[in-house]
Amino acid sequence: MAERMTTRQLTVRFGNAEAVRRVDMEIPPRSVTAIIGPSGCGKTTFLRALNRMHDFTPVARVEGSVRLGDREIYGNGMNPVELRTRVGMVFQRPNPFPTMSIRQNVTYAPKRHGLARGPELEELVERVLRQAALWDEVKDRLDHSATSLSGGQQQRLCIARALAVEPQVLLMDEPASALDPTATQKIEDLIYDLKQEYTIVIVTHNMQQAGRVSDHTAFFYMGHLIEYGATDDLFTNPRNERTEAYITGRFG
Amino acid sequence: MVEPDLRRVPGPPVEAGGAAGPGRAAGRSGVARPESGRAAAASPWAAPLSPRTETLSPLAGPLSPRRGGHRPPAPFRLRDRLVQRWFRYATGLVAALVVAVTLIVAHQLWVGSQSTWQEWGLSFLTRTEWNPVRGEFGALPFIAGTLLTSLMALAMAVPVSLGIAILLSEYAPRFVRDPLIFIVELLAAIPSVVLGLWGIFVLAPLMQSRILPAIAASPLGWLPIFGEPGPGYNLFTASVILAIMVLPIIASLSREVLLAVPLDQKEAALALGSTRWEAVQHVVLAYGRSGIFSAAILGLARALGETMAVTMTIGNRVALTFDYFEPGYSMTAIIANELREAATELHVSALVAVGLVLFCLSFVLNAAARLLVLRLGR
Repeated sequence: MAERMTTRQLTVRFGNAEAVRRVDMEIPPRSVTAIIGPSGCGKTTFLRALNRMHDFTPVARVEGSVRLGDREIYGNGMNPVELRTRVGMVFQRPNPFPTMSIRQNVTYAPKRHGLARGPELEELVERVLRQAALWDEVKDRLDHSATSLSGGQQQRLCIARALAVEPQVLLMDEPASALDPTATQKIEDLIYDLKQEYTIVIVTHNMQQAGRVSDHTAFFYMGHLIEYGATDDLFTNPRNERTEAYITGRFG
Repeated sequence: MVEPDLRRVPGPPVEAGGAAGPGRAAGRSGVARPESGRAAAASPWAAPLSPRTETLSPLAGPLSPRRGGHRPPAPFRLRDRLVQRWFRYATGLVAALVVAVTLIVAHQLWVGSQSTWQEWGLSFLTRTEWNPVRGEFGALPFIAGTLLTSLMALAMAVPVSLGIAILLSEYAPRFVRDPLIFIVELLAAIPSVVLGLWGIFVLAPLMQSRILPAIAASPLGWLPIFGEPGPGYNLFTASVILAIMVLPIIASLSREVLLAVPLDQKEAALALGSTRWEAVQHVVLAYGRSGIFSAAILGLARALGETMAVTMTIGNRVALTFDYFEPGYSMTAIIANELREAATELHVSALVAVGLVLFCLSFVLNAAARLLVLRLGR
């Protein structure tokens, strides 16, 4: 189910500005890969290139190759709409659909794609809400508005919503940055559980968080991938001096 | 806020301290008053409540001799206070003026239409005869004409406006968007009498020769609201003119609404594998629905009150009809056409009564719409 993602010479430009520069990176399946780096270093831009979210930005140009398994996602054979059902995304701020109920938020995408209906759909709602560690909190009020949930619950609902289309890869763009410590803790536990089944890429500002949840860490700086390796190695024994400077808090 | 302080100064000491505000009293007590060290050491909120704060006024006196040092220096106090008070009164006055004008208009309409209400009471609203010579008056044909044309205008303008708004906010590249916005705004700037002229010289003949027969021949012709094609001046022609007039209002307001939908909502839908159109349809429009609804209501209010263009194209025939291909009359048109020539007191009062009905109709529709928007917006 989980798939490997590979980038080769991936470059993203906005007009004349290069936000991501010739990045070669291999993201292994069933693991958490954290992307760290100072603001403006291209972390989020890189992440959004992995499910072609730059398609909607007219000035953005993507060059190089990104593969999901062995399929080229920027190639002719890949429909971007289908790609986004395989590579799900969770955003920085919880963004459930406010006009829909909790249940509708989860069923929206599977219904659109004809993945399930009737009792199957009910099972799917329960399954993904359990996966997102939200079921016990919302099972009695599935038809309440999604906005009745707390921020942390909303973010877990967004994760459940992304899981409902059964993606192979889950991209998370600072998923806990708008949450309090307790809610952050829950999201981190959740990420830890989810990596059994998914390939997870998480962008984070918070180095402690990267250290806690990830197996691999990539350090980006000025659009370049500076260093990439096992999280423990990278934090205890950085090979690049800029990595060391960043993780020891000397800049960023 | 200011007056009570004035009275408090000679009052009980606790209140004098209370007026100072806890932070300031505690802060100054720490610096200037040795004997209040206890109060200052305690929580800052405890200080003004302490009985010792009575000493605050005399001690702080030099800073502002007239009223105790716990107040800001005089220039700030006096001028700002006056300006602030004046500003408050001025804004209050302006707001009151709006309310007053509305009430005066309503009252005048009520007083001016007394003879009509005495003659027929509420049955004036359901009577269909309007004959100034025989002194018979009833408002129903005009109410029907106004409602029918306005609703048809809305039915035509809302889908088109929404289409324009979606195009402008989601799809159009810059070189299409900017000229289109300009043209839509230009449409709003056309004086209604000019649109009326266009209705008389272009639209009405075209209606008679081409459009009405085409509609009658099409599947739409089976709708009970469309009868036999007739002359070019009719409810339908007036509706089209009204639709053109309300379109820019609804389109530009809806565009604002759609632009205000947060980007992350759209991205959430797209990241779930929605196409762009699905994201607009299910998420953007759903998010903006109450705003779009209010835009439509503002358009409706405009259509209800429009006079000139309607008078010029509706046909001005007093008859209760639900056939859009027949000439009709609107409330605004009858007032504009007959008020000047009204010879009898009853005739004038009947026209004023029509005005009152229009006033109430707009009021009720607006209030109902507002309630609906509140419910939609939760």
